[in-house]
This record gives sequence, C-alpha cells and structure tokens, in this order.
Amino acid sequence: MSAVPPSSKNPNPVALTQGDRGESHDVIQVHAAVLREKPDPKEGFEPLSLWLVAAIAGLLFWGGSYLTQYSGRFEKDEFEEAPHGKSVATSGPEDPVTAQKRKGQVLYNICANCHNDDGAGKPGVAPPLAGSDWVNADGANRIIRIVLLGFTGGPLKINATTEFNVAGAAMPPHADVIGNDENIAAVVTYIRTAWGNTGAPVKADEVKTIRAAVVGRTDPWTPDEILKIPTSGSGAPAAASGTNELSADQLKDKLKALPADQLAKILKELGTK
Amino acid sequence: MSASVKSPAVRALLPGDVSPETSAPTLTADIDASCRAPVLFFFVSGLAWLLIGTIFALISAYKMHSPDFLGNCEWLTFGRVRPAHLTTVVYGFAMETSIAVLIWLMCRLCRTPLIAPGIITIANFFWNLGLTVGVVGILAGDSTGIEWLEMPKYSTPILFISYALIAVWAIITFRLRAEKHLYVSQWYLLAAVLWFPWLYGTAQVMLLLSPVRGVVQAGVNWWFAHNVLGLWFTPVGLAAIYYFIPKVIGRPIHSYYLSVLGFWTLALFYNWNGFHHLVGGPLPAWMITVSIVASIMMLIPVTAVAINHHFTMVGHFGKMRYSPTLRFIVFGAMSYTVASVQGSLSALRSVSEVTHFTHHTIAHAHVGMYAFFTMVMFGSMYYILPRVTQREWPSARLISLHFWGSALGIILYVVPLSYGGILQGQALNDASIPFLKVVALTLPYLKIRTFAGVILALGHVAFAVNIVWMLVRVFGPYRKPLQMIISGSEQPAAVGK
Amino acid sequence: MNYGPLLFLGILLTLASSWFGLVLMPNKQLGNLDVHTDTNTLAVYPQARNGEAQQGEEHYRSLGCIYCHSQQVRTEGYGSDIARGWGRRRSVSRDYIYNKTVMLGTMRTGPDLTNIGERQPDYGWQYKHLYNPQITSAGSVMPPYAFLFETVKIGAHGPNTNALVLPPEFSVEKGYEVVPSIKARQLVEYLRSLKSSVDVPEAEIKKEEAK
Repeated sequence: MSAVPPSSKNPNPVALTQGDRGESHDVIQVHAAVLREKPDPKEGFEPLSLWLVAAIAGLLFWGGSYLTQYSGRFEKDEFEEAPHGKSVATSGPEDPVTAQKRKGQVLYNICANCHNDDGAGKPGVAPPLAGSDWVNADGANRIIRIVLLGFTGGPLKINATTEFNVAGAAMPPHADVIGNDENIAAVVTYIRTAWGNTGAPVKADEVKTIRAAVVGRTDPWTPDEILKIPTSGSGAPAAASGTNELSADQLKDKLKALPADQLAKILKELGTK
Repeated sequence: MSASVKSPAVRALLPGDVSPETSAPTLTADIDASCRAPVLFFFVSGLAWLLIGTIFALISAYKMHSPDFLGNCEWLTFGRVRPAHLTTVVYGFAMETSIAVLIWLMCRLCRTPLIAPGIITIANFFWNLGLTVGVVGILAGDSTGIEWLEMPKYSTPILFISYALIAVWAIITFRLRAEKHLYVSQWYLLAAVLWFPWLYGTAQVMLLLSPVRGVVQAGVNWWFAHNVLGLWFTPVGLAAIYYFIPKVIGRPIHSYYLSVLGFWTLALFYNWNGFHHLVGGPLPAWMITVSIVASIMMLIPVTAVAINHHFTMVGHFGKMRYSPTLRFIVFGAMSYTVASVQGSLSALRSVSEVTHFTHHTIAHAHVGMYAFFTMVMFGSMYYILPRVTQREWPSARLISLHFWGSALGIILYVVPLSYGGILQGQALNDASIPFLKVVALTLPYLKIRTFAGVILALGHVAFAVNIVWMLVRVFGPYRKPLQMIISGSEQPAAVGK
Repeated sequence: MNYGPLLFLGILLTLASSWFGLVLMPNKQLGNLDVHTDTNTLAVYPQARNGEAQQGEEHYRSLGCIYCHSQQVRTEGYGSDIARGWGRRRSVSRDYIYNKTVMLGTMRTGPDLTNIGERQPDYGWQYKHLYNPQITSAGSVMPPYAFLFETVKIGAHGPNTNALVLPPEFSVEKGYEVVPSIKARQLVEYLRSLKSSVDVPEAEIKKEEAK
C-alpha cells in the first residue's frame, strides 16, 4: 500500500493500489449515482376518460364501415377498392382543339426524354422540333410516319441549313407507346403548335389513313426513304422494291430539284427515246 | 462478487414485493455492476455503428442532389451506400442500443442481477461479426434487394445465433425474476423479445430461403419491415419512456388502465399495418384496406400513451433543464406522437396518392426512427452509462452540443423534407409537369437535408467524445455529478468531498 | 397484469392474427398465380425472361436501383401513372410471378420502370443514359454508372458496333471508344424486357372509343 504524495494535479490523492487511475474507494462516492436515484416507477390509477372511450368507439365504427365498403369482397382479383371515377374535370364543354392540345402535351412527356421539354432536341440524341421545317410543313405526313414506325438515324437537314446527325441512336417506333389514332393526332398537334411552331392541328382520321397506308411495315424509316415522302397528304412513293413510279406532281418536284445540267441530260435521253 | 438473488443476505432484504428503497441501494448497485460488461459492449459497439451509419448517411444525402460525388466508385454507388446506411443504423446502432437498454431494464425491473453475462458478451460478438459481414456484402453487391432485409443470406445465421442467445437469456431472466409485479415496461420488453424472432424468421424463410411467388414477396417484405418498427423498436422505446419519465421526476405513471389499453391495442393493431406501404400497388384491395384500417386504429394506443406520458410529466417539464435524460426522453415521447399521427394519416388513400413514392416517406421514417427512437435511446444512455460504469459524464457542454445538434438537426431534416415531399407528390400527380422539372423542385429540400445531416453528425461526434472521455477517464479523479453542477445545488453528505 | 403465461398468450395471439391474415392468406390467394393465355392469339403472359435479362435482373438488384425507381403502375385516375405514359393499365399481382426478387420499389426519385421496355427499348439511349445520365437527361440526379462500361482503344478493325456515340462534351479521347461491359448489356436486356401492356382478366387496357 504505497502512499501517493499530493501534487498540483491531484491535491486529494487516494490510495491507488487497485482500480482505475483516479477511481475512488469511498463507497458513497462510487454509488453516488445510485444513491441520488428516485425510487423505481409505479403506476397511478387514474380512471379512463369517457371522452377517450367515446373517441375509440367512433374510430372502431369508422374502421368497420371502411373495411366493409372497400374490401372488394375479399376477392383476390379485385384490385380497385371502389369505382374511382376520377376524371380530369372541366366545367362545361371544352374546345376540342384545346382539349386535343392538352392531351398532346401530356403525351409529349414521352417524347421529351429525347426531344427536350422545350422541343430544342439534344445534340447527338434527337433533332429539334421547335422551329423545324419538318414539323411546320403544310402536312404532317412525314411526322406521323416517323412517330408510327421510328427513324433509323442518319444525317438530315433541318431548315435547309442545320445539319443533324443522329448516328447510332435510332428513334424507336412509338405506335404502341402513344396509343391509338386520337393519341397520335394529339401529340403531333401539340408538337406542331407548341413553342411558337406554326403548323396546323392534325385530325385522327389522317392518322388512320396513314396507318392503313403503312400497314404491314415494321422497319423504321431511313433518311433516304423519309425524304422521298411528301409532307402533305398521306401518300408515299410505292414500296421500296425497285419500282420508281411517281405521280405527276412528284415527278415535277423531282425534276425541278435537279441541277440544270442533270435535267438537260435527262431531257436529252427522253428526247432520244 | 455481486450478491445473487439466491444469497440469504439479499433474500432477507427482499421479502415478497418490497421495493429496493427498503433494501438499500445495494441491490440496485449490484444489478448495475452485474450489467456492466454486457451493457457497455452493446452501447459502445452501437455507438461505433452510429458513427459509421452517419458517414454513410452523409454520403447518400449528398449524392442525392450531387450525383457525381464519388460517382466512379462501384462500392459507394447510391444504390449500395443507401442500404448500407439503413443497415448500419437500424441493425447496428438501433438494435444494439435497444438490446443494451432491454438488458438493463429487465434486470432492474425484475430486481435480478444479470445472470450469465458471458452469454450476452458472446451474443454481442456474433452480432457485430454478422453485421460487418452483412454490410460489406451489401457494398460488394450482394444485397438481397429487399428493403429492411438487405443483408445477404450468408450473414443471417451469424445474427440468428446472436439473437437466439439474447432471447433465451431474456426469457430465463424473466422466469427467475424476484419482483412479482410486472411493470408496464416489462410487458413491452417481453413482447418485443418474443415478436422479433417470429418476424425475422418468417421473413428469412419466405423471402430468402424459400422465396414465395410474385407479389406475396412484397407483402411479406412490408409485413416484416413495418413490424420491426412497430413490434420491436416501438415497444423498446415505449418501455424506456415508461421507465425513465416517472423514474427521473419521481412521480407515478398517470394511469395503469391507459397503460393496459395502450399495450393491448398496440399489440392487436400494429402488426396489421404493414401493407400501408403498398397503397395503390398490385395487391388485392382487401389487403390494402385492412392495413389502412389498422393504421388509423393505431391512433388509439398512440393517444393512450400520449395522455399517459403527458399527464405524468405535467407540472414537471422544468426538470428537463437539469436532466439530460429527461430532455431526450421527452423529445422522443413527443416525437412518437407526431410520427404516429403522420403515419396514420399517410395511410389514407387520398393522402397516399400524394405522398407515396416521395421524400415525405423518408422524412416520416426519420421522425419515427430518429426523433422518436434514437432520441429515446440517447436519453437512456445518459441515464444508464453513469450507473453501469460508476462514473459521471465529463462535459456538460458536450451534452448540450449533442442535444441541440440532434434536436435541431432532426427538426431541420424532417420538416422541410416532409413539405418538399408533398410538393413533389403534387407535381408528380400533374402529368403535364415533365418529370425532370419535378426532380428540380425537390433539390432545395434535399440540400437542406444534407445540411441537417451535418448538424446531426456534429451531435453524434459530441456524444462519442463524451462517452470515450468518460470511459477512458482522462480527466482525473471523481468529480461532482453534472446534475449538481447544472442546478447549482449541493447534496449534503451523500457526496464525498 | 402480473401473470406471465397470460401475457405470453396475448403476445402470441396478437401477432398470430396478422401472420395469418397478411402472410398466410395472401400466400394462399396469390401464391399460385399462373400465366394468362389470350384465347384469341394464344399468347401467354407474362413471359419468362431470357437468360441475359435474368442476369440483368440480378444487376438491377445488386446496384440497388429500387431505391429510386418503382415498378408498379397505379390505377387510372389515382396519381398520374397512366397519364404520364408509364403504363397502359394498372399493375396486378399476375405481372410479377416470374420475378425472382419482386422489386416493386417505394421511391420515385426516378420514373417508374414497369414498362420501360416499351417506352425506351433503344440500346443506344439506354447505354448513354447509364453511362452518364446527363447525356440524355440533363438535370437528372441519377448517378453515373461509368463503371459498367470500358474505355478501350479502337481496334484495327474499326469501332465496335456497340460503342457509345457520345456528344462532344462527354466524349473520350481520340482513338478510344466506350463499350458496354457484359453487366451493362445484361442490365439493358433486363430493362428492355420490362413490358406489361397486355390485357389480363384483372385489369384490361382501356379502349378509347373511336370518334
């Protein structure tokens, strides 16, 4: 039992033979925490408030009625708890074009993934739709076809100046995703009228006609093919199986677009036949 | 060694139902001393997991608004570090501290010194081992993909050994109890000990060992996950509140009848709540409806418990100034009411239509697990640690820093994020708002959440420093208890000079 | 309430009630759901995933995609799931019978993915989006998964057909290309397999009346 002399750090030294450094051997000190404790808890016996009992009864009643109303007869096939007729309410009949645009705006969320919310497109991903001559053309033939069957990607010119190349990222067909003729007409109408675009709305009948015209085709359009399709009407050049039959109008357009010397060459050939 | 219940000396002091006041604090001190190693092991390892979990939390929170942070590290990708956070704080900190509190409360209330401390120590080792294996597994990519049960299959048996040891110990202690009267806390603790293995076992079997088919998995998943909250953490938290509030202020609990009502309605209704996590989901309507009804019925036990706690505390709120324990416990008790009401309302279909899938759910989870459960655990630790170590808290300032860090941090976390979640839900329900715009509107609230997380972390660090300081005894010989320093009062004679 | 055995019994029976009602009963009702065969086309739904997509499902689980993405479409008029184009009909129990781990998800930090295979089947888009979500979705908070890709030197035979076509601000140095690893390929196969717009008895796709 060695005594420890007092020092400035430890003015009240205690015997330090056992225990932790500085641990006291004074029983009362060691058990101070326990000594100052209050007795262990007991329960009081206040009676239950009748208001609480009434509230509980009310809650049980609500629970029972909710359970019987919304259980779908406990069937495993009933997923709707109750007929839930929550429609987008409008007060009074709405102008059909406005309704169509609103529907189209909602459907456009699908397109916005690539073409951006503001129709500006994304470089390398999707061409812009805002201010695009493809969209603002007099007819929506090309656009509807692209929406239905997709686009393989490749170089194309927008507004005759901007070159857009979407190599390596095709636009998938959206016929199934967007839905029926009304839906496709709605989203194309929205695209043609939003962000300052000057196109005209599109009717579901147009979509129906074009759908019938491309029935059986599943391949997306290539740049060459889509450029051959006129923007107005719902027609198209005949199937790409080799025949190059063009309507008179289409032939005229084609000839006008040719450079002068090539036109002269063709006329010369026709002349010699 | 410490006196055991069987020793004649102790028996002479405890005829029948006599409380320890007449037996002198010797028995209480013996109980505390016998609990020392096991409780300390669980508290200290729990604290370590809290610090690790806080780091994972900060990483996850930051990544949510700045996704490129540590973006190249596969081990820390958000989808792994977020479940690592949940696992470490729930199965690390929350589970281990609740086991420690359970052990200590059981011994105190049963008036039995802890038997076979070696069992608990071994259990602690296995728990930490299993958890480490599990968390590393999650970060390595072996997560099960099941929320609240992400630890891979290979870590489960280790945890099971640990839990089996604890459960067996608890039941034996309960059987050997010296105190015949069962206080309300003991009902909750016994219930928790029996419920948890049933939940965990069912989940392990039906989700991992022999998975059920299809959406039944989702059902079992959320039956399990919600019941971990409601049938383990809530009972342990309530047991602690029921003990510490009347203990610290020296008044009885307001009403035994409310305690009974609260306990049995919780037991009956809480376990049916699980499917409120699946409102609107691909399950038959009746299952969802049943859970919604049960969730609203939970207002009964929550009200009973709130009335009980409030009327016990009324007139004594001033004591929170002197007792850190009381501060944390009362904060936790009030948060329990808030969390439960928020939860019950969120279960209603009309509310869920807005809040489901949003950050509101996460905010609610933190009201329950942090503002309620963690704060109650902190309060319990402030009371228990001095008694099992027979040392006092070194620094009142660190306690203050801890309390204010945690309290302000959690309020700053849950209030803005709940509000942001509601805005997010409303925007999501408007199909004309593009999805990326919805994401953009949540960003400010996510950033506030990260900032709140930093404040919480400061509180945790203060707590850790205080605990380590207390254990290592760097500061020197015995000092005056903090209670006296804070209140400025002096107890005569009881404290040696 | 001092009688231990009575307490024990009460504790047992209360949990037993929901174990029966929310675990056993659902398993009885839904645990044996089978595929649905369309009587007209004889098409079977749902279809089991091919091997690559099954591997992809494991990657989805391992990377923790569920913490931001849900895979359940709520009914029309409840929330905006169908209006957003996330599905043509609500999800039902039968949709999930071939999922090894059912990952319904509880957060929509990112969009619902139940029908992402219909909405975005393009490999190029999916690879770009995984490599760096900012390429296709500027402002997204989805983390980049560049570790699922490899930056390799362009070989003597020219660029790899799977190589990502990256916009200028995201491209890698000249002479190198970014190629998806097998994990990325499998994950995208899984995402492409996520389709559920098929009529089932429990929920039919709403047919719009022709004008």
